[in-house]
Amino acid sequence: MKIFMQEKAALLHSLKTSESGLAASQVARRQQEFGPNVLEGEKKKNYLLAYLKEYVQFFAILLEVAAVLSFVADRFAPNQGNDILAYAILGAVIINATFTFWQEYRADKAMEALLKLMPTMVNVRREGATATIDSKELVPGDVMVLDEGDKVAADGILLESSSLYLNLSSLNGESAPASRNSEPSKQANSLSAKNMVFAGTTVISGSGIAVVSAIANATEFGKIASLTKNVQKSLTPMQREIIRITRILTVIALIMGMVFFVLGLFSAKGPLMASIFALSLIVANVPEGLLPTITLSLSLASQRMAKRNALIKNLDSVETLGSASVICTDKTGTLTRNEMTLRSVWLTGGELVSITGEGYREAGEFSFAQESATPV
Amino acid sequence: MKVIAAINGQVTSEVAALYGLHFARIHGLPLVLLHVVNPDDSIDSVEKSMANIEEVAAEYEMATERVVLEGSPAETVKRYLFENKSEILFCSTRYRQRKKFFNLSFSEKLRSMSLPVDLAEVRVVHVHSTLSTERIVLPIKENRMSVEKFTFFVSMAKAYKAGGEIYSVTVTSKKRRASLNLGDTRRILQKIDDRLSHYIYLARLMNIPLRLKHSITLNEIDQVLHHLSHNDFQLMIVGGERLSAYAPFAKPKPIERLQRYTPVNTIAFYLREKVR
Repeated sequence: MKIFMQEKAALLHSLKTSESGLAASQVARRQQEFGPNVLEGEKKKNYLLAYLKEYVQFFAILLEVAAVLSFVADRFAPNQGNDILAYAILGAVIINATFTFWQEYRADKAMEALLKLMPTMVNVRREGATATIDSKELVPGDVMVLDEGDKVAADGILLESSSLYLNLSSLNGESAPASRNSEPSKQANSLSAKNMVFAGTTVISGSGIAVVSAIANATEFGKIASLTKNVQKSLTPMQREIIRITRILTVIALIMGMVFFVLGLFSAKGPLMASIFALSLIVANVPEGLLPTITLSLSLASQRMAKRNALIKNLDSVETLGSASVICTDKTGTLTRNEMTLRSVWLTGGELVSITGEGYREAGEFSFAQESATPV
Repeated sequence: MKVIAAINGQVTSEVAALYGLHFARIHGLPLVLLHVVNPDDSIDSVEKSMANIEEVAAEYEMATERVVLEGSPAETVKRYLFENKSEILFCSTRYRQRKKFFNLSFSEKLRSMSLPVDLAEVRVVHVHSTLSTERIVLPIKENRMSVEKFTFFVSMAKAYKAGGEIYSVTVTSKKRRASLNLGDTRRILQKIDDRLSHYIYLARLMNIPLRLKHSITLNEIDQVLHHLSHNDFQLMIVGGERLSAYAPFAKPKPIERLQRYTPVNTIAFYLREKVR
């Protein structure tokens, strides 16, 4: 039997607590055993290091080497514009690094916004008295006192409730307030259990007393935060193609540079001019304008899409969306229940078939327009 | 042979002992509730914990025995295990934010010792998970599965009549993953399937619903945490390596991060020291 299906006495026994709350000594030991009620990811990220990392990417290194070679060429053959080229290349590197970092920084802020949904202070009942404590100090078995406007700091099961309504939008996207009661749930899924309150949600109205069943990463909200944090970004086809082209061009540039250096050695100009010529050739072949061009193109495309009410947060998505021919989406069905319902089929002959039924259930009917229903 | 459960009066040690109880029940072994007197532990809480476990054991008509010893906890437990032929020791582990030099916890000390029994170190995040365990997951690296680890896993699955899942994680680089095509992926997964197929057959013979899932990822721990968050498991079993003498000074092992941030109760299974 799941814990939220238990009667009050059995529930308190399972969590080794009582309606009057935990004793101070129990709280101290449980804090040691379970740790603080904080989510993984609250540790501050070193943004300076993250920014500097952008300068040691393959393409950035290639451009940096090209800039150094331009400076070297300018030293040996001044007033030929090599120094301007070097500064231009460095400018491209800085712009690209800053732009990429800014995108990742904004993604991190999304995680921080999630963490802000967790409250800092919470009312609990311990040894029969109600106290306001730091939400980090909550432990399983603590008794939370919930009132209108409170943010819930941990997952819990209601012992008492009075016209309690919660805003569960941080968990399921539903903006309508969800009613709660202290009756043992008959639902097997915790998210559907009416007697459960969840971390990261808000009390819209009413009041309640709930016993903490899970804290930190073990809460439903902690799981969502974990899913947000662990999304692994893979290279888009365009990024892969850019890397491939860059490598090919680099190899060509290096080979050409070496060939012309060797040829220059046999000419009357001497080894110094041969090396300057080879260096200039390598620098000229490095596609330093490629990155800013791509970034600019994608930015222009995203602006055009914004004018048509499609807001692009991540520039790479422009390319991904550009490859999409059909987008299937739905506000609640797909996003929160992970299931879609087919309602109608238009056949190539122009006939319309209406379908009844819900989600993955194998019950429903196909009915042709102006024809009798055909049971499945 | 006996199953030993270390009790310190804490709710987490009680949960660990309940896992031990179900393991003992499924193998028809007696359960020993072992406590080493310690000024940090309240003897009343210890008595209460033992009584609670005995109450559950009585429901299954299981034999239990109380043993209370005195001395340094880890050393005393080790001595007891050498003097009394036992199968496995269940103990709980607490949340550890970071490694503390020269201040190893009880379970960390046990991990660094050469013990004649297997060790099941339980990290409890849900006190109530022993009430209802319907799905158990065993994450492994590619196809690295030992008979001992699998036996422990199916024992727990059988004890709880739970469905099992072997979650095979293949770590690769970002570059390699980007270049993987369907054929490469199929070859990698086929190799793992071939190696693990016997375990699947064995589980089928034991009437344990078992499925095998794969993941090709950049970071094994992040991937396992992601999988746990995405699925409704009540228990995770992972294989662990015993700590070396230099462990307090070494970089934290990936399993430590997994135990710290796991959203489900986790049993780290450490194999006994092999007799040479």
